[in-house]
Amino acid sequence: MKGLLQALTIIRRTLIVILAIVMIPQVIDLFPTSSDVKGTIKLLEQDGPVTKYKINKRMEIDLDTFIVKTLYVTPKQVVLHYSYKSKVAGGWSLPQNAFKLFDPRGNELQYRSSTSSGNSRGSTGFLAYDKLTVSASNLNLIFEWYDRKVILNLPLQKVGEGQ
Amino acid sequence: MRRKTIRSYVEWVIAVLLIFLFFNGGHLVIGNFSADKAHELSESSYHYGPSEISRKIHYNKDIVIYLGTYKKWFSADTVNKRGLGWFPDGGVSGREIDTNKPLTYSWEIKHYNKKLRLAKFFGYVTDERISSVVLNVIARDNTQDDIRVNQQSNVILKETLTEDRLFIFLWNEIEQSYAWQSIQGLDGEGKVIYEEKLN
Repeated sequence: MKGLLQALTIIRRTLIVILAIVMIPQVIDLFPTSSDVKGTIKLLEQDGPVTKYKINKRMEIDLDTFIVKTLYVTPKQVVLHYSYKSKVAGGWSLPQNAFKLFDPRGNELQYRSSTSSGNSRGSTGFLAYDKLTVSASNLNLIFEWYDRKVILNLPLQKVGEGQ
Repeated sequence: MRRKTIRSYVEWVIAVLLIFLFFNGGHLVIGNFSADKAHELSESSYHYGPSEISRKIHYNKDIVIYLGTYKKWFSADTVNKRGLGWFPDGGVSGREIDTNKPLTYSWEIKHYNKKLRLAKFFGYVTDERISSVVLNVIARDNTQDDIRVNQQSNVILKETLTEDRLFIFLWNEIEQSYAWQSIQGLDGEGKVIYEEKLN
């Protein structure tokens, strides 16, 4: 009985030690690379007055979730702050250029650039588009990628003016 | 003794928790348990497919290529074994079949290590009259260090098409580098009915 208990203790502790070592990369992966949200927003202020819209709307892309958190409209561009969560870790990252933005008249605001940071389970980042040429109360974000097409309407309700 | 028992219980809980976490997200570190699983993950995370696999090619024990089509696209998704598990490795993105052309091709070259730089040249044939595809290349033998014996020669890579209408040529650029000349579509009698210059 005592021998059995001792054997179990050895097995248990070996398991813990081995798994803990093997999983170090996973633990490191839990901490996403730093995302400089404030810095990006500060940069937007160089364009002129920034209008911030709280959106918090989600779209499902296959099994993954894409959330538009905030939208910033400046005299030079429209910038969207998003977060993305993958159902399964370890795959490819989000194809950011698959997101197209349209004003209510159906004019496309050209995709310009993106920044993102994250880990293998998801990411957060910014997508930047050309400036709005008409005043709009909502915008349509369309994810178009192979045979996938998801449309998300983004109502623009002002929450505060930037400095 | 009682303290020892409590301690062993706590350790068991930790061990079980670690085992659970390991299998839950373990493929980050050790990869997927099979090449097929890695291929599935590759396509699903890329939001493409699932494609219909025509050919599963075991290039070597660490590389598997999935040649297939998905709706109007074709691809040669590749997965790679590193250590114990399989990982997505490239080639996942499907190329659209141009139905206005007799054949649509795509290619990818990936450097793996000092001994392997894998080249994939593949495509889809729309023209029903074409029964085989030829890739004309100029080959240079890289295994000879002496440049004077590095003779160039014309090489014909040929593949007879099957029902899937797909073709793929694979070679190792480190052993043999090819300069592409042209891609041809041949009919059943071996007559060239389509040719596209590649250089």
